[in-house]
Amino acid sequence: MRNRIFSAFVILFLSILIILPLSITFLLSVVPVWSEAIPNEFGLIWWKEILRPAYVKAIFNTFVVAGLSSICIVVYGIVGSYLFTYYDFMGKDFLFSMILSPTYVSCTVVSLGLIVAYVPLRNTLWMMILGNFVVVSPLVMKYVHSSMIKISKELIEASYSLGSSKMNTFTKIILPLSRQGILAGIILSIGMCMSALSIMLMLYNAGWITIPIYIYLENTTGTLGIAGVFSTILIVVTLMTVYLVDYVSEKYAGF
Amino acid sequence: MQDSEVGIRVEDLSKSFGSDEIIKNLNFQVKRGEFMTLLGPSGCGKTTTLRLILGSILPNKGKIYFGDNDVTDIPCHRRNAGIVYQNYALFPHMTAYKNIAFGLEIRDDPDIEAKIWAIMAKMNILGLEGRYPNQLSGGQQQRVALARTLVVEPRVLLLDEPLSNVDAKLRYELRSEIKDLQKSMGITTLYVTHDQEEALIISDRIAIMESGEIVEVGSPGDLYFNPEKEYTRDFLGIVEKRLKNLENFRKRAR
Repeated sequence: MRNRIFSAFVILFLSILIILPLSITFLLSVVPVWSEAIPNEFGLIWWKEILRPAYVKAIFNTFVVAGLSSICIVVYGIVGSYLFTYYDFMGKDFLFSMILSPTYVSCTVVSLGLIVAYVPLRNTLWMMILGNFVVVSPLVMKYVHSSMIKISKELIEASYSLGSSKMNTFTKIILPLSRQGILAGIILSIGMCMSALSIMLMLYNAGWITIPIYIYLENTTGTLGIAGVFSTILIVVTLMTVYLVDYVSEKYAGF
Repeated sequence: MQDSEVGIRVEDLSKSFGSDEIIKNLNFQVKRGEFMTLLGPSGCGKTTTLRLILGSILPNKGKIYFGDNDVTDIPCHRRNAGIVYQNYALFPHMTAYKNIAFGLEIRDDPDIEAKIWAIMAKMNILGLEGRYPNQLSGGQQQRVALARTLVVEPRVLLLDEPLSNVDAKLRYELRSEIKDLQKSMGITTLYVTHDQEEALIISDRIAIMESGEIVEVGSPGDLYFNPEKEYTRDFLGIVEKRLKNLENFRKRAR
């Protein structure tokens, strides 16, 4: 009995620890002035505030940067994982660990490297996409690769023996069976690209300010209400992505 | 043997993985319509030989012929060699029907429906068409796997220990079903197993393998009663020991 109470207490504590910051960001967005320990006045003043063109543009920019980055990342993650899983070539293991290496390096360091290495792209939208790509794609590739590597070689051989070409086997067998890893990669990619701060701070161009940059700027100037609204938008979009991907995954699961 | 009588011919076939030579200058023939078994202990290179014939791996040396045709450099998906595995290898995201239809759809076969129902009736799996592999028993999965392979009328049939995962009773049933199907379709079949008893019962001829080489080839009767090689005598002698053990058990039980 005592063990059960202790376990319940630990779970409750951890849940509060995780949920509290998210709840407070939402509260920030609906409290006009937070002067007391517990807010006593609520309103949508900050939500109206973000209808200003600069903020709307930031929301648009975030979707464009995250969307384009995620498309590149997921396509690369799938194709790259396929090549690393099903083809053998010299130095494959070394190349794979090199490709994954940005995962273990600070985003700020990677961004600095990008600025120096790709001077012509400096201060462009493409540099922001490239930043996301370099940092996030290794993680997505890891997810997809670990899914693909679990597909038994007999399934692939069976497909070939039935007359299926490599492309047909890829689309009809490998892709559906790697679904879990690909969907996890999509969620991870959208989530990380939408909320990337350090990369965006290092690589952004004045015309392409994104939501995380505004959250940072509003926080430094003390306008926590706007930061709260943007944070809530990011949380909602991320949760919606997770639910949408889960829904699609279950609807087309079939097995 | 005339080329026209040859189903599969393997000439000087060698395969290495790194520094390990798994298959060493293998030579054998399977007659057209014959049921031949590669019999040997685990790790002797039986499955590697099968995969070389299937085309999923390429040999370092040697030639593989289907009839008169050299298929050594033909990719797996153009060889028309069907394979059935020990673990069935059914596509888990497709129903039994879709699994069987897979090869026919690739060929744009005009009679897909008719062919599928015919093979399902033949394999006694009617009524299972809407089920996914994880909703089928081991025996049902094996029947679907056989149906999927046979429905595209492959030039050669390769069976990689297909009965290892089913219980003893079902193994006896499927054994005779496979043999009957093979005879009725007249398909050249290469069967891989480490089970001496199974090889003796099901095969027209047996090739005994050890360490990537063929030790002896012959009919089950010749190899069992008059083996030329000591290894064959030892390897098939297990069956005799099993029979003796069974006899002793019967005596004790009485």
